[in-house]
Amino acid sequence: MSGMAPDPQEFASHLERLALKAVMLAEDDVPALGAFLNDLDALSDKLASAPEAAALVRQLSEAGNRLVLGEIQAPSRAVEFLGLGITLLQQWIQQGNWSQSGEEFQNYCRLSEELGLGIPAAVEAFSDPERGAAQFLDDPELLANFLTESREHLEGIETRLVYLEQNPGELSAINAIFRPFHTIKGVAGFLNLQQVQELSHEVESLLEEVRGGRLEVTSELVDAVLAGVDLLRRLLEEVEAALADTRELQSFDLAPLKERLQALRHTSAAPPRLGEILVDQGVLTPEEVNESLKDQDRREPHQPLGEILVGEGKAPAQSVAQALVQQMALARRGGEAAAPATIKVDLAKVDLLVDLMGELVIIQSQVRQNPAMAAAADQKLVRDLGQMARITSDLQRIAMSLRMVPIGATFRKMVRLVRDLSHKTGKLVSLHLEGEDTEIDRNMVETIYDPLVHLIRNAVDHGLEPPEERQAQGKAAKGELWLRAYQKGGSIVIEIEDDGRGLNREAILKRARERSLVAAGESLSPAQIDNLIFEPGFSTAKELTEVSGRGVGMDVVKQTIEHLRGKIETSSQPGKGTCFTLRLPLTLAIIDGLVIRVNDEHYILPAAGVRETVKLEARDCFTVTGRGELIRVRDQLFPLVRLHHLFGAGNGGGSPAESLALLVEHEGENRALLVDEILGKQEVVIKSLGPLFQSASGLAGATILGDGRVGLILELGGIFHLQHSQMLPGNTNLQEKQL
Amino acid sequence: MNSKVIDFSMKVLVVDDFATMRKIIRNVLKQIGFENIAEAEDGAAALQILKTEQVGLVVTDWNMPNMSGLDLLRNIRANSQFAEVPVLMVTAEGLKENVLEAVKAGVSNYVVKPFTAEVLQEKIETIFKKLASSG
Repeated sequence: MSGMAPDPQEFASHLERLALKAVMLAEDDVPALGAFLNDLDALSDKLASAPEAAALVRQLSEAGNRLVLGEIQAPSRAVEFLGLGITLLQQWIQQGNWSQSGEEFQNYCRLSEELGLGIPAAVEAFSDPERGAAQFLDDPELLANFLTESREHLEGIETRLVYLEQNPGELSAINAIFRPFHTIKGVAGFLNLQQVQELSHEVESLLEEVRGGRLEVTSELVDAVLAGVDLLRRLLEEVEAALADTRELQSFDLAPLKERLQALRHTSAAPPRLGEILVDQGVLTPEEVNESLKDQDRREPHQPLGEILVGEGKAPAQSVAQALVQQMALARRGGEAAAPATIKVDLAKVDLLVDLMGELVIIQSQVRQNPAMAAAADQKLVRDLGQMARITSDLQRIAMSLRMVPIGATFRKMVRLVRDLSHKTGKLVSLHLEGEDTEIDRNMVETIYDPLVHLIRNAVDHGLEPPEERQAQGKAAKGELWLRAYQKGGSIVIEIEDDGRGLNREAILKRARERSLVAAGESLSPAQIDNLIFEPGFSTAKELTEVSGRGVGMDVVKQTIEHLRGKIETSSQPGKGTCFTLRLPLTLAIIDGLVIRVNDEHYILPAAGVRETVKLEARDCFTVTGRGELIRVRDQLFPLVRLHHLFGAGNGGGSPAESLALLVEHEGENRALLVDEILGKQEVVIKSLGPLFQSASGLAGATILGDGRVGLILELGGIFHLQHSQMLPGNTNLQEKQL
Repeated sequence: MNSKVIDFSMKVLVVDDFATMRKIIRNVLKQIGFENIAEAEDGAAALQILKTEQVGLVVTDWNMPNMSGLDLLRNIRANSQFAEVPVLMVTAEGLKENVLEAVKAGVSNYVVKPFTAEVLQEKIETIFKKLASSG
């Protein structure tokens, strides 16, 4: 028969006999296995003209041989494998090929790998008739295109993953991640890039579970997929390098990641069992189900539980049918049921809602403060107004919370950054994330991303020492880096702390003097020295490194944070480490403010910066040449700021004695603000001043007050700065004033 | 030892050129519960016994002079008088090709030396279980 194409008719019937034998095969039935192997041998004799089918038969023989020899750990899988192989051969004789996308072929390949048999190239290549594996390898242009394209595909994945983590139910996000892996897998198959194909297949399979709703999006899953992205990138780099040097591809160890991905896949939620559903519905007792299950085990051939239950008259057919439908529905939905129901809303709508809520709060308080209302004697009206105020404030809180997202996603992006930095700098870093659940205004999340990246880069690049240096100092070779978030009072606090060398105050001071940021004779407290790093254009890095760039940035970081009405502080201990603390308001839209009157103008001072109010007395007020007006509170001196002057709000040149002052603090500096009256404390909705007044210093925005008037919101940093510049030599305005 | 699927009254033919080995196998078979045990020192003698006596099971060594265990097996399967008799092949460890050849030649099961009574019993039980189930 050798050399001749097999007679399809005869071959088909031969296969049919084999298929029957395969079905009847038992792993310990040696004579049956022997007969099966003989049949396979006979088959392969007829297949000399069809190498691909012959290769498949050889593989089946190999599996059979190993089965006979007891070399296979899971003999039942090998029997299943033999059956699948025969099915593929039957497809081949009927259609001329076996379909690669078919379930049988997929299962065959999976089992083949599981049994350690591998897939012979001939078998795989043949499975797709259009395909010619090796020839593309010689086409560098095609490969180069593939590399570029794959990288583009991979690029979007990280951000999409983070998005998906925040919006786990969103199918379009999953699809957007799933698709690139699928595409890469497909093309890699054509190009015979086996490892690329293998890995993308593995990731794809995992995502398929997510897509099917059988697996939930967890941070563990996201991490694993990210690791997949990383490894895939490295594989692509290797392809590129091999292409450039025209050398053989090196292979990577994919096993650990594959195991991780597979392990995740196996956590896939199984649908509840029929018996459980029926017990839940009270149709059956658990005992009855167990009895029938035992019965099911005894029956040959296997019979579905539903049939047995109906057959034994334990459950009405209708109940079983209903339970089956429910089971199917649950299987489809998978873990979805456990997750909170979510809908997708356009962020612009949420922003608008928050804005309108702000307006509602304002108008509500206007109504309440209307003199006509105040004069109203109707008790019910007063009560109803109070009730309305409470509801409005609840509504506002909920509207605000719509925009809040956990900071964890942002933090986790840093994990990747730190790892990359650690690779680049050769420093060992272990990053600890704390308080990932802390919620933060979504609009703020985006803004703090860059500052965080910058601070972390600095911590790794400048803060932490190289391993040898650390060991020489008796520290662990691996540096520690903490990224923390927590809510404290009305603020979100984010800390970036390292256990590195700490800020070098001498170097900072020297640099600051060089840059004339500090006068020659001026002595500064350690905290003041540390804060010099936030001055524009300041950098102490001895050499520019690839990582931290050119020393611009800390001032930008500070500006960004302050723009969010937040604060940044640093504390450092030489040799012990540095900690940057970011304090951000809970939300951007509302501040707790003190309404003050300066002459006829009403201003709002952010309550967070106000320490206390003092009634000034003449003996506590001084004027010191070169330092302006000072007031004394409990033996402490505070520079006095006259808002009247700063804002030209009429004449405020009188003696501060007998008037009110607010002691305010900003970045460790204290001042006393002279005001005419404190009108009260209230939450105000911030409105932007608009582009025309963007440059106005000392103002954070404006708000509409309860009585309908516009009040300007003061910003302390700007005010301190304004006052400082007014006190510079040449501006004698303040110095001339005498008490 | 006891087993439901094995008829211990059947005659078991042990084929080995080594007397010591025959004795070992005989002892093990006795331990399992067989009482009617015949011995042959080579393939030819074994075939002679098969022709004249009713044998229920052949336990043969692989490596024998004149006629190997495999040849004996092929002879048994080719003879219509006793083609169906179960044959258990005893083989030395590590000779995989032998096992595969024997399996394809229709051996009922094989056992690798050295083996315990439990292993041999298990193999024999498997053989008769299959025979019983295939009718």
